[in-house]
Amino acid sequence: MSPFSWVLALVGLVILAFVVLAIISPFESLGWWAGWGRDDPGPTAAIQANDTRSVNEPAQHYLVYLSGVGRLSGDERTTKEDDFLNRVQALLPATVIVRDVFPFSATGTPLNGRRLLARVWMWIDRLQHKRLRAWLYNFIQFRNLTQVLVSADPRYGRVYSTGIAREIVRHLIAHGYDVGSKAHVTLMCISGGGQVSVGVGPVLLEMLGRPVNIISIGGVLTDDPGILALERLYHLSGELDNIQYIGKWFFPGRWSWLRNSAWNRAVRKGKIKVIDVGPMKHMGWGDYFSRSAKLPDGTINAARTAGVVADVVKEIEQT
Amino acid sequence: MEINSIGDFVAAVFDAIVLALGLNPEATRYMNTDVESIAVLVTVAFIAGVSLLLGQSVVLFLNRVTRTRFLLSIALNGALYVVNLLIWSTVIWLIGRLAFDVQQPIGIAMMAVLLGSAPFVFGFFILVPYLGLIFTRVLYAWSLLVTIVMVESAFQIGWLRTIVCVGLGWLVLLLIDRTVGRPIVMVRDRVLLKLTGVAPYAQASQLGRTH
Repeated sequence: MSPFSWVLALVGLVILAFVVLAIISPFESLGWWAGWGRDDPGPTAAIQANDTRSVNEPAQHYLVYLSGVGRLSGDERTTKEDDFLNRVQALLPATVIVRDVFPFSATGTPLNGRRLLARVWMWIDRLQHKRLRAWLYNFIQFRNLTQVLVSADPRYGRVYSTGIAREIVRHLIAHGYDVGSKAHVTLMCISGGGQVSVGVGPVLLEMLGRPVNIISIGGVLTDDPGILALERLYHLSGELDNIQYIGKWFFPGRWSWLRNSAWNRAVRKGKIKVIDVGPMKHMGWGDYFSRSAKLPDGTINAARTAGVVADVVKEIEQT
Repeated sequence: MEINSIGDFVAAVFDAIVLALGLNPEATRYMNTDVESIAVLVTVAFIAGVSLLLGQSVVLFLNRVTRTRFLLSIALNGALYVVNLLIWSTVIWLIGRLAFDVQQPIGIAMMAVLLGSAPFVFGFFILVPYLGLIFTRVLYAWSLLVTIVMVESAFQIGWLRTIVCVGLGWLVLLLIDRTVGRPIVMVRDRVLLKLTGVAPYAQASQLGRTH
């Protein structure tokens, strides 16, 4: 085979892998719903927290963090993410931040957990060769991206969101949340976690019986009708972040001339508030969580984002 | 058509699908009423029916069917799809004969309509989240186009008349389904419900609250 044929074969294989990942993507949620999973508690099983965290007193506000698509599990975060969450925590000492929900599995199974391709994902994650790892990480991101699309698909969305909502409630309970209490629950999401949050909103509202707010940090927001069930969505928008507009470009319900779409009705009802956080990018140096990049006024990006989040949380508590 | 081995048969099925997908009039070589051609085209339609339900299998999951019943439903849908196409082709042939004096035997019309199902061999792509919804429409449009081309090749009555035959045939089928055909539809649904636990064409809106 000539080198060109090898390249062609490799490109073909990559495309095939992406297509297969996309085709099988709804099966995890659907199989769980149908009761095909061996050990996973079904959609009607009582929600039980596996462990109790070090939260002594039930808090008045729970902030559930839903990450972007480049994540392998709920327990692993980048240092940058953790640093940002610590900043928010320092500004809101009375608020409990739930950091360990994995928003890309309806069963809460991490990619390195009990699943068919677990070894593949772990192998990619452990690669020492930085460039190869970064390149292969696209597969992990694509796998999680397909779950964002599952969430946005009207055929699968409700099933997927039910699973994620159960996971959120399970983690809330583990962090001291008392179901039935009047504590605030706010979802804080970034990137792909945006659509997952909006999809899960109505289910969470039914399960908790409490209004749900979302703080989207450059979140990708589609035309999911779940937006109407939310109390309010605060969208932190970076001026250099184009990825946040993917939902606006590709989901017809976001187009302004479709006046009766859920999104446009939510806009008219004043449920969506866009907050300009300055010249920030979606990812990389200069993004919302950057610790070394500074805004023109000298504020560190992560500090500005954390400050705005804290202000929004206080605004929610006052309403 | 000469088929001497399973390999020949698989090759013929593949060839028929490729020709139909490309709207190639050469596909007419499979529009014969010999056993081999019938077997090839029934297989094409069966694969299409199976693939289509696999693509739309969310309904089965929502109804919480077991794995066994899932497989049974998929296979049964393949068979039901073939039967549905045969009924549709009969109606098309009748309209062609009564309205436009078509002289071709009914078997040729059946083969033409079976070929029209070829695009649905890609029905499993409907599973792809979000994009699958767009793909569904593309497949239905593609299948209708292939059916029109194949029926025109079979009847030789011009495009407009062919479109009238195919379109009217579809409307009549819909009418039969909702009027005189109701008892048959009910029996079919009851048998399916018994065998698979799922009423055919159950809707995603059946999904209830479970928490």
